[in-house]
Amino acid sequence: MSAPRVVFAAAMVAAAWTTVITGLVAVGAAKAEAAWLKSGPGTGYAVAGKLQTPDQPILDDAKCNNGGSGPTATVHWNYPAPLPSGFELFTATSKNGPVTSAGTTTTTSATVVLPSNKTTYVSVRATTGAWRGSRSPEVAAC
Amino acid sequence: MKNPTLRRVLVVTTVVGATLGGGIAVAAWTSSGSGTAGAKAGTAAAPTATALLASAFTSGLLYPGGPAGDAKIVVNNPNPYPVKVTSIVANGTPTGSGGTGTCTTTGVAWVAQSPATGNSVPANGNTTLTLSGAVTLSAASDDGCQGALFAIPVTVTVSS
Repeated sequence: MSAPRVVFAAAMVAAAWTTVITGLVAVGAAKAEAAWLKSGPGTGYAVAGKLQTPDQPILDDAKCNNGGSGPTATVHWNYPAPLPSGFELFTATSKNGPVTSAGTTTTTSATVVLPSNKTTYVSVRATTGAWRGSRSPEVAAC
Repeated sequence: MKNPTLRRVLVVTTVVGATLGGGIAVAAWTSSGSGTAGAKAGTAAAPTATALLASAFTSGLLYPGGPAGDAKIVVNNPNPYPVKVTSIVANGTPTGSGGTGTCTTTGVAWVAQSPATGNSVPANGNTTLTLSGAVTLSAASDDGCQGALFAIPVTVTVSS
């Protein structure tokens, strides 16, 4: 047999074994990975925050006898946390008495329409989604 | 060898014979490897988890419609070799407790996790994983869920 033919034959044999070994390595690796994976039940935990209570509103302006437009009070307040998505304002005709919703805002200031030109108490609370914070202390207007 | 035809026959016979021999070897090796892998899978124990308290959280709190918050999970490894947590996916309905009121509709959703760092669990030990952005809270979350601790059923997968 000539040398080139011997080389050719040897190359063919080597190629065949290379293919076989490569395949075995791939199959073995896949089976090993599958064998080491294991799953089980568990419990993850997370905690919800709480809406903070706004500071007592500060009365910027009160129009108690405002003609046909009715009495109004302009207030602003501080919120001791990153701003929630909104605030709801309330009025009451007696200090710490029953309150009536007086509108919403997404900022920390608002002009509220008062029910009368008599002394009215304004308060505010934070809102986000269905969450409602505690009402702030009241500020008197008129 | 001076006969060309005979030489060709010998060459072809050699190549074919070697290839067939390789094939026989493949069958023998595949059988052996498969049996060993199966035995290892049978002895591995599943990971477990331990309860946490709300006081474990100082940041990453959840707000309705707000950014995704942090989740924590304690993974116990009952095996005598270290493992790594490769995935944590939701596996049930979250519940809320300890809030300011009734928390039936939690609004909690788990974001599938594939931790790449800090996910090693020592042999016969445990690790607390803190997963940033793993939980979201929808605007439908009940008002009474404020301050609640949410327990979220998950499936933990580990690999060695």
